[in-house]
Amino acid sequence: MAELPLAGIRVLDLTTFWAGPGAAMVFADLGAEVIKVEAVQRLDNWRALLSDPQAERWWETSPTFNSINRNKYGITLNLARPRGAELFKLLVKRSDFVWENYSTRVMAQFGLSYEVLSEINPRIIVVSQSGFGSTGPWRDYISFDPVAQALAGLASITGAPDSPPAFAGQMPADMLSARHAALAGLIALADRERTGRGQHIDMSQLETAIPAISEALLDYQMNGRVWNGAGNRHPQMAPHGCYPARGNNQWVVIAVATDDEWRRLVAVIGNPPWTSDKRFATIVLRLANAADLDRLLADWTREHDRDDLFRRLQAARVKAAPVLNAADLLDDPHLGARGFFEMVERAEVGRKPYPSLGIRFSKIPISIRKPAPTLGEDNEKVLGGLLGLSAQELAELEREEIIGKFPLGALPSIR
Amino acid sequence: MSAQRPTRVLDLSVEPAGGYATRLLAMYGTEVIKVESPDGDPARRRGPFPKDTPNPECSALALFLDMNKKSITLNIRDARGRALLDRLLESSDVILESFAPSEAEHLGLVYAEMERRFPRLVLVSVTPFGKDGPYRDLESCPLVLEAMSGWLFQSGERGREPTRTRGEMLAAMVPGLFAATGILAALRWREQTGEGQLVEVSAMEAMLAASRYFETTFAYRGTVLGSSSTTFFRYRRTRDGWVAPAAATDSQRELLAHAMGLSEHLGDPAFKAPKQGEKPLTSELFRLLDQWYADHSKVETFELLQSMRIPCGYVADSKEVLSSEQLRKRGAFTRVAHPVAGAFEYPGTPFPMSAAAYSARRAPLLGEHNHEIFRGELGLDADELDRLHSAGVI
Repeated sequence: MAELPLAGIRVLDLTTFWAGPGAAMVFADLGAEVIKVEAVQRLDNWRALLSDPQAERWWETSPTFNSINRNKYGITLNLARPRGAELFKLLVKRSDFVWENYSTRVMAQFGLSYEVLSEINPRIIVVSQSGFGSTGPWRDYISFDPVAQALAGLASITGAPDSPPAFAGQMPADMLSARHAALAGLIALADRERTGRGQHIDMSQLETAIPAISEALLDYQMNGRVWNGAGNRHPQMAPHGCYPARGNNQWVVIAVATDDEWRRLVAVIGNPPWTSDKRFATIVLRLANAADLDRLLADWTREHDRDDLFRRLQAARVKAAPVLNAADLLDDPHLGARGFFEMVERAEVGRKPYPSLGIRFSKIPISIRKPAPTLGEDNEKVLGGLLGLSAQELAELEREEIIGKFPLGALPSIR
Repeated sequence: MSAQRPTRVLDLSVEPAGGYATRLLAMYGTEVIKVESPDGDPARRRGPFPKDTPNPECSALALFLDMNKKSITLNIRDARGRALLDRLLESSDVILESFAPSEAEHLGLVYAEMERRFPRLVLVSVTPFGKDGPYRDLESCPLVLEAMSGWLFQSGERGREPTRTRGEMLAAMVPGLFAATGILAALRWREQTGEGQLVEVSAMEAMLAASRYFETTFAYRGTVLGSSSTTFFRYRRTRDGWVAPAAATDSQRELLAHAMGLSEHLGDPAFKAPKQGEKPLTSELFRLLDQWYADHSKVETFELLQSMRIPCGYVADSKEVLSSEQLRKRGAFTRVAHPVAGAFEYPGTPFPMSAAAYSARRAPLLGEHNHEIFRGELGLDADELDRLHSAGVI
């Protein structure tokens, strides 16, 4: 059996939080040797998110950290100290990628700008996932997902027209930054194979979210129309919305495009008199009277079980779905049948389910081969094995707090 | 370095997810040939259109998605059309399709069969739920996928129905990015082994795999996180619009208190990160914060907080996004002229690269490259082309 497609590619992963680690995770899943680099003075803050503050090693208990860093190795190295930066440069000589999502001034502060790194290794590919890129008036500003959602215009088109902008909770700007960065890395790798040279990918989280509003950007230029939030309304479908089902916080979505679909929906409802109201007779009329239609439909859905509505409507070939939450998804029969979640044993937390890559190959054997690394887990393997440092030198580095296995400082608070 | 023929992708997809995948590859030198049915890719029928007048050459969605691509028309349901597709497959590296699984089977776009004839071919399938499993044949649309991938449950205002983000692109981009990633991984594998393969992307799974792993959180903690609007942050109303201050850590919240002259409230536990079950902020602090925001403009708030290293954005609409100095200075938009639709600014590359060649050429007219491909490359003569045209094959 052949090796994974990125076998032999080494990535130094300096990224923290979500968008950067999510990109490097794709490389790790595809077989690259991804070495996550933290410092005992400066953990990836994501280790604190949703962690168990009561646990002795709280930094090993975050579900989000442990999800996004699987298949990676982990070392600690304090880049703010000259010896740490020097060792990092030795690793750069032996690596293919440096991946980072600091704000733009940090790598230069470490003395590790692209210019420096490419001089050490002209084949190195540096992926920078900053908030706004390394140029322009906002280059030093900081972005988290909600910041990019707002500035990219996504917030302006999310939510009901009669309410404040609503938050897209799946964190689209983080996911778009992560997934564009992974793809960019693969393009750069193919480019390097043709040309022999590395390069710098100077990403801006804001810019990765802009394509998501392309229709609005073009509608403004074409027709002078500025989009606002439309709730769940659709320009060509009615009903098209999210309706309450029986119980607390239970919802079902229903979308109807054609008159045939409308007749099938009406049959499932049981043909009550309101469904033959002239105001709902054609798609044009249903679009015009969508507010009344939504109200009447909600009065019906409210009386029924969510999953029952889903089953009955889909059986009648009406586009309908339950609004699934985390507990539903973990138990979902479809995901279960396809083996979407993989069970992985990890120190401190035991055996837990983690989502798979989400791309299925008939031949490339993708799987979660190892859990997320514990802090400094691979110091000996990487600094000893790869750089040839002796046990004595490693002990020295640990005394000087350039490497280590325990965080210095308290649990950071992050929400 | 020997000059290589660019990778060729035949794009049969009829959903924006596939179109986004090939758009990104086409920007960086992949030759993408759209194989459209003679009445055109359905994206050409979706708006918006200039002056709200439908025209298959002027759909905003198609103009955006199809940049850098070629277009040929071919009815692959016709035996003659199918034979021409097979001839094109001989010179192609990748074929991408988004047909419902049962339809793909009916059309013979089945990997086990294609592998025998084209062992080096990569077949990419992008569907709502994948090629097996109990949801395989469900009726779908972006709203259905947003509901079933856990996106909707997290979104919108607490206490009312979850709400989506308007338009088609957001939900399409994620499976599109997965498909493009899968293509490059499969091509790399092919270089190592000489073999093609099937790459399968289920939009539901891609959307779930890209989001925050709330299911794993549930497995660890037994809690279902609801709408993120109150737990993580909320939009604040300023004098002239909304801002998104994202002070996620204690130190950022301290800076925020200083910036607003509310330092005397720093001892208030409400200024720290609220723990599970705690009230996020006292009503007095709410009032003071709301008052502060109401006294400032959104851009002023953004600039002030960012200058203090507190992440903050302002809610920009599409007009403001287009005129953003940051985005313009970075060259985030490319002006591209089109002979029918006119000239517009389009989002450029989402990942500026220092060395790889990038291009932004206009979307093709329907069947614009029929002559080049069918005559120039496959060697059909003018009569044959006419016959196929009048038979509705091309």
